Amino acid sequence: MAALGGSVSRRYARALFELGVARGTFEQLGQELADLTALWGTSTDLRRALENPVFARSEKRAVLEQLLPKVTPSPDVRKFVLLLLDRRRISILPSIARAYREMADAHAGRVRAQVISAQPLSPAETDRVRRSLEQRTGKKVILDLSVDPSLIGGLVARVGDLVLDGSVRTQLATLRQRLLN
Amino acid sequence: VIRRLAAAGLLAALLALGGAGAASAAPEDQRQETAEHGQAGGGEPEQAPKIDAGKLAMQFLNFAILVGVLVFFGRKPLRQALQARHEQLKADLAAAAEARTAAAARLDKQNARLASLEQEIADIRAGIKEEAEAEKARMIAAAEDRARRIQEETAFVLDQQVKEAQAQLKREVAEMAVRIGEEIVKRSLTGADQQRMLDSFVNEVAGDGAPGPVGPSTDGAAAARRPQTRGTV
Repeated sequence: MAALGGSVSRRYARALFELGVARGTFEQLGQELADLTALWGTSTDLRRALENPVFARSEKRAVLEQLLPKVTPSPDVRKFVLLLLDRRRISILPSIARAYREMADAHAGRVRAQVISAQPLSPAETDRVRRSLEQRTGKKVILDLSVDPSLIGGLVARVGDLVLDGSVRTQLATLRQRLLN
Repeated sequence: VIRRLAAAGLLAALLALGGAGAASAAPEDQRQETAEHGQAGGGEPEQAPKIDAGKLAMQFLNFAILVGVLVFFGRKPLRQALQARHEQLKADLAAAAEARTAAAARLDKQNARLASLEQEIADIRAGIKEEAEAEKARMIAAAEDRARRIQEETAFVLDQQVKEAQAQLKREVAEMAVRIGEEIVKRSLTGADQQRMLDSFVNEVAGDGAPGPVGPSTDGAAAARRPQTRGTV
């Protein structure tokens, strides 16, 4: 079911992405879609109102038509979201946004890296890490930073399915394994 | 035979009729005489009965004929019956003699067996002893085999337990060493160390573009600092 949902999400995302590429606005569309998804994730009332079958579609449409101009200046995204509402696909909006982001990153030649460090990184350290990852991957890297004290020291970077683990926790685990073997 | 029997029956019937006619004539005469005596008056004494010789002769003749008929017709069946009875008795005597012979043979056999009873008892006793010895040997062998198996199983279990204890001890030592190392690292880790690890990470990732492999390395210190890599971009 999840795979089926992912396939549907990718089809919708591809339609919007190709429109954005054709018009040269795919980055802007992606940003607006990300903002709308963030609003969708934070506003429980909005989700309940749009997903609740008790409300008529016309009522939901009226809500979106009032809300969308404030969040998405682009008429393409507005029409896209209203289309999702009409097709009863509004609940997969976050999944569509993720698929769109992957397509946009691939098109722009960039990758996203999740970097987890034991202590917060300074801007200079963040920049060094990003540059090293860009050098390693040969692509522009967008970092998603987070802190996990259980790493004890060092950091872990995930780029796609590549994991670069320089944490003390992993080194201790390796040491434990070597002692056991 | 049937014809003879029929003729004898017919003759006997005729004789019976003749006898019956004579017998019936005699009472008529007696009644006539009695009546004459009654008419003569009761004062005279009774006279002795007279023997009628003709009638007596007839009765003898009748009896002789009867005997002749019986002898003529009954001699042969009687002889046959007596012969059969004789044969039966002979057969019974032969069977009895045979049974007596067999009984005598059995008696001889029993007597012989009785004579060899001591030897037979000795043989039985020897057989029982031999079987007991064999059973004893078998039980001893089974017990030894079972003891050997128990010993092997016990040795195996002990060996497994020793190995398990060794592995457990090894795990505990490893866990303890790692825990102690973790505590030491946590206590002694400074900002400079963090910076050094970051530098190491950045250099390893961007330096030669080929981070160290996952797992043990011959260069322990370098491997400990080197970021571990899984997957591909």
